[in-house]
Amino acid sequence: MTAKVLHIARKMPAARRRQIAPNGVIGMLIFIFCEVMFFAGLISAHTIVKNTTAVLAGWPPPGQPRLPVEQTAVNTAALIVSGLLLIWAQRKFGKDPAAARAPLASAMALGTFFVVFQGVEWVALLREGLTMTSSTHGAFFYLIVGTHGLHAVAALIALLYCFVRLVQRNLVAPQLQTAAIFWYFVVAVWPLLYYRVYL
Amino acid sequence: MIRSIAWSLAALVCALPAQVLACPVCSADKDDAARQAFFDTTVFLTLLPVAMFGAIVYWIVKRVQANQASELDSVGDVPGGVTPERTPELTVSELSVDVRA
Repeated sequence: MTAKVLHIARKMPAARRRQIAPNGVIGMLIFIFCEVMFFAGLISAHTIVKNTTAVLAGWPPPGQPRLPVEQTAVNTAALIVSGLLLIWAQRKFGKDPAAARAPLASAMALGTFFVVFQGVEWVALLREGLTMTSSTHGAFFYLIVGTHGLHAVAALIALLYCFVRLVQRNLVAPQLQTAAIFWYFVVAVWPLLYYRVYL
Repeated sequence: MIRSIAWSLAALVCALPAQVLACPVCSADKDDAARQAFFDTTVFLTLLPVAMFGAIVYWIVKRVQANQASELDSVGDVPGGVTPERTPELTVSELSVDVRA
């Protein structure tokens, strides 16, 4: 019976058994699916607490520092540009892998700038008295922005891995696709977080 | 006696508040902004997974269609215009597996 099944499988056209996407891409999409719901839960909780508290005491609560909206807008622009650079790097990689080095490195540099700038912003806010325990405003701010920062760092590590393999001429397209999808998620979710938390 | 108890219970039921909160610590009924926030987030959390599943299904369908199209293109792009030998289609008799074997 097994021999007959194998015989049938060999006779099937190859296209019918072709993968629709690399395993890494499918795995990353499933992971991002979960992370989208995670951030959706955080945003929903923040929205409810903000709207409930705003009526009673205003938002942000009295005595709490205001968030740096303008500086973070610049940071947001840097993150979006890094995403665009990564799209460009992927297109270059398809034609000439060596040509993808510069845009990939630029995307990583802008991503690193985003993370470092967020860290500097956190230090300033901590000095002004906004902590995890100072108010629900602080708790939500550090939880949501910090979680996004962790994702950004993880995605940067994935991009760095791709860059090293690219320099070594060992990078294959599915690896870059998988890391790029992760970075696109980090880029895409940030404007929503910025709108809900900062504005 | 029984009738008076029944009427008393009916009056008691009618006197109960028209609105009961499912969550005792929620204050969703206190103001419009909070009520709107609960409504918006409920809609958001309900539709988001549906939209994502829909997007993934749409993407898979498009990928399968692209694969089929590329398969047809590769058949037509044979140099010299020679029709390649097609992979034989399976017949019903070939697909049926003899369970006694």
